Amino acid sequence: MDQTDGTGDPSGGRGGHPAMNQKNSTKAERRAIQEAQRARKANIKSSGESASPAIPITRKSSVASSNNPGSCSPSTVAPSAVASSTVASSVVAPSSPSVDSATARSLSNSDQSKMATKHQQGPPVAAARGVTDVARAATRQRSFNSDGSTTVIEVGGALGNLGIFSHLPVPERGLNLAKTLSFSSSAIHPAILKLGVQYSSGIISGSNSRCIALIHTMKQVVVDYETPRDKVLCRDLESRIKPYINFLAQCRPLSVSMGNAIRHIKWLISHTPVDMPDTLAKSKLIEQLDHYVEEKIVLAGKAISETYAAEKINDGDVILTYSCSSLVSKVLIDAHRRGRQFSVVVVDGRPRMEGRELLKRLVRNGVKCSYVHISAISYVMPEISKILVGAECLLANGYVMSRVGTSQIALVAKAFNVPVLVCCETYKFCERVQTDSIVHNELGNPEDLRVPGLWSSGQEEEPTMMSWLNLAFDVTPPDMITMVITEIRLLSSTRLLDSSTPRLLDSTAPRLLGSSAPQLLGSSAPRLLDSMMNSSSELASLKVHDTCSPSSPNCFPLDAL
Amino acid sequence: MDKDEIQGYFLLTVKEHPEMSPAVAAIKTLLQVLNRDLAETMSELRKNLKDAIACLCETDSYITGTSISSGCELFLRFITLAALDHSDFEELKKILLQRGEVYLETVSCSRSKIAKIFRPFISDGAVILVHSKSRVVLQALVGAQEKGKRFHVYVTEAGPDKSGVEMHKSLIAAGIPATVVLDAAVGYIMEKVQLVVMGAEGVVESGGIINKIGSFTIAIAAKEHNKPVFVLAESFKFVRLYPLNQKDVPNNFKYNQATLLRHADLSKEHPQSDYTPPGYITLLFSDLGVLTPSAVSDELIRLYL
Repeated sequence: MDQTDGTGDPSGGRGGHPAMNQKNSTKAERRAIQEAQRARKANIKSSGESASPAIPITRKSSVASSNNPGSCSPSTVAPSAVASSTVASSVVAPSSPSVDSATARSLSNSDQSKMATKHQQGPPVAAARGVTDVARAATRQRSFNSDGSTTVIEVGGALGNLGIFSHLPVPERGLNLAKTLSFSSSAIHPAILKLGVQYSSGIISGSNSRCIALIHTMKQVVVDYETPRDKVLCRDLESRIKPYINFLAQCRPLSVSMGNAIRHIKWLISHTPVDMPDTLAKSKLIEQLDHYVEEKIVLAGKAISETYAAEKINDGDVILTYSCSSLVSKVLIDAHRRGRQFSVVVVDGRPRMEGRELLKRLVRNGVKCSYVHISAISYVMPEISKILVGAECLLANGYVMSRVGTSQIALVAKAFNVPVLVCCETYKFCERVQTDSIVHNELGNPEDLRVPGLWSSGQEEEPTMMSWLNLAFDVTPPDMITMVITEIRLLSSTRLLDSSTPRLLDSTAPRLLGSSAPQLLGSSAPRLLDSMMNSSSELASLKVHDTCSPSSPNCFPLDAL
Repeated sequence: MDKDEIQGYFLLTVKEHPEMSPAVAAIKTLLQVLNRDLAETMSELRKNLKDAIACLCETDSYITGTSISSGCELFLRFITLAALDHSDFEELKKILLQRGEVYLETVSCSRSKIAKIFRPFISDGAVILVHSKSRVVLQALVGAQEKGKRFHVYVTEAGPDKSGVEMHKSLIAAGIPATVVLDAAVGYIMEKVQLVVMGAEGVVESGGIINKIGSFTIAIAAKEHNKPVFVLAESFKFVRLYPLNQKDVPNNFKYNQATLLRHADLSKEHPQSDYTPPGYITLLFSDLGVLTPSAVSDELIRLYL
């Protein structure tokens, strides 16, 4: 019902624009052009022409796009500037309320409240209003289906009108992306293309596995790379990688773990000696990339599960976990193998239902499990002794960004006085500061949220006022989190507010882990730091700490009094 | 030195110097052990010292095992960290002893440092609630009184050993007006009180404290009344531990050794200390300075690394 068969897809209209053009124009401009074309079609439709077979836009999407002309038409006039347009009103002839609402949606946030009142008063003058950012306002989502056809979904309705999520990047999904690349952009490595599709279709998901897949693919890129004659590897390879990253980001916004890994990769490349022979440089790069995965992900996970987390899982515990984190499943399975007697409550939530995967893994390893939906959370909470969740990233202000729903769990846990433990490797730390889930988030495919059969009774159309918002993450404030378990130490997440922490982590983390990683493997249960202290790195780590600021902002120096 | 000798020396030191914190006495004992030790390699010496620490922690009559273990561990780290590059072991041992003395010196004067930095927080005419007996709190209050501050102190009786009564005696002896209140009267007294001061047996990584049973109750009452809770603790009490709740605190911090050794059913025993989470603490005064609870783990990691 919600599918078009490709030919009718507005992206087909892109064919009219030469590939070169597309490449040179910015994303916003391209989008504006698409909007224009869609608007034209929608205008034809709204002025009474029935959908011809040549334009097989099905009913729902047609409703959605007929909702659109207000936002689109200005771009017909000024595709490049997407700036204010006075002609818009002439293009948007039909003065239906839906047009009005669409216009309100297309307005920038500042104009919104004004426009909302206008909308309530009724007169459809809105279209003539200055439209500042058409490309942004028209949130649009495209997904690709298994048969290769594409679907255009409009994110509209109530939240679309509010527009508070309109700044979030809408990933261009799947095959149509690959199509638009054409020959001019065949420079993108096939492995990257494959990875992009895997990301966008959700075959590879989860912070850690996405990062590992990225590094693995980057290794392939490095292997296949040959330095052009008049260039040097350390500069050329970096610039070669840039469009790859952009492509991946288009497929699905980069996770923090990937961002950190990419920064590391770029650093490695740019620090390759200029005069190093290609083969040597490449093998060295690959080795370093392997090392990164080993150290930051594999060993870190091992450290977390074998030292700190192990201490916190005791006999008789009932541990609740939400969604699927590879780290949490490792921690739980390791604790079970060590003979701890505990049971796990796996909480799951729509639309991703990732908890099922975790459930599968745990049960396969013999862990006692129960499975509930997130709506039953307050019912099970009194039975829970600890909550263990993973994280997408840990923000600089101590907030934890995690799978959407985690913050709700933490809130209920706080109400029931249950300690919340977050497992997070230090490579997922992020210097961003964020206090809500709006400013930075990821939009999932709204199609996933839809309930089949909800509007099908009597072929009733889906109300245009309704929108589907599928956010991927939410943030949990630090006062709801008892403890963050990293491979270096246990943190109270409020402490992250302290500015010396990033420095501590930046300077010590790689070095400490780097120097004592082998011992870590050997040491069974004692604290990580203990094993470090006994190693020869004692003095080195001491020195590292001497470089820390003598007085952190949370610490009043003695002489101040 | 064998086990009995170590424990005997420790108990004697504690008896001779009642004003001395048990952790300091333990460090003194360790210095004695170090002095008499016959070990010929560094690792042997380290092992002997560790054994001695274990002995000290098992000392029967003492419930303040928290600060003893943390103090000893810090001592061990302090003396052995810098001394790895000497060829002659006798020389090395001298250095260790020297460093040990230095550490003992700094530890001993940390209390007066705390008393000094805490002084500005007592205003004239203040009414202060104090929980149980704490040497560092006593010294801080006496110091303030000597500087001409006038204030009144309420001391909780602090069951089951009524250590608050002892504290009351010491305060009266120092000329500070003081009143003993029942532990159950904390809620009643809280509205008159301007600030709450307590010591700590151990300061943990989260910034919370482990202290005489009843501290948590007082902290809750104080938070409800929006009264500041100040904790006075020397830095050798910083423990590498991150309890999530009361249950997560190790048993040897909650019960005294005698109870644990009896292998009694712990559910029938009464704990001697409780854990106060960082959210209930306004500020921590240590010889490192005045810390917010959230800064503790930074300082702690700096101490232990």
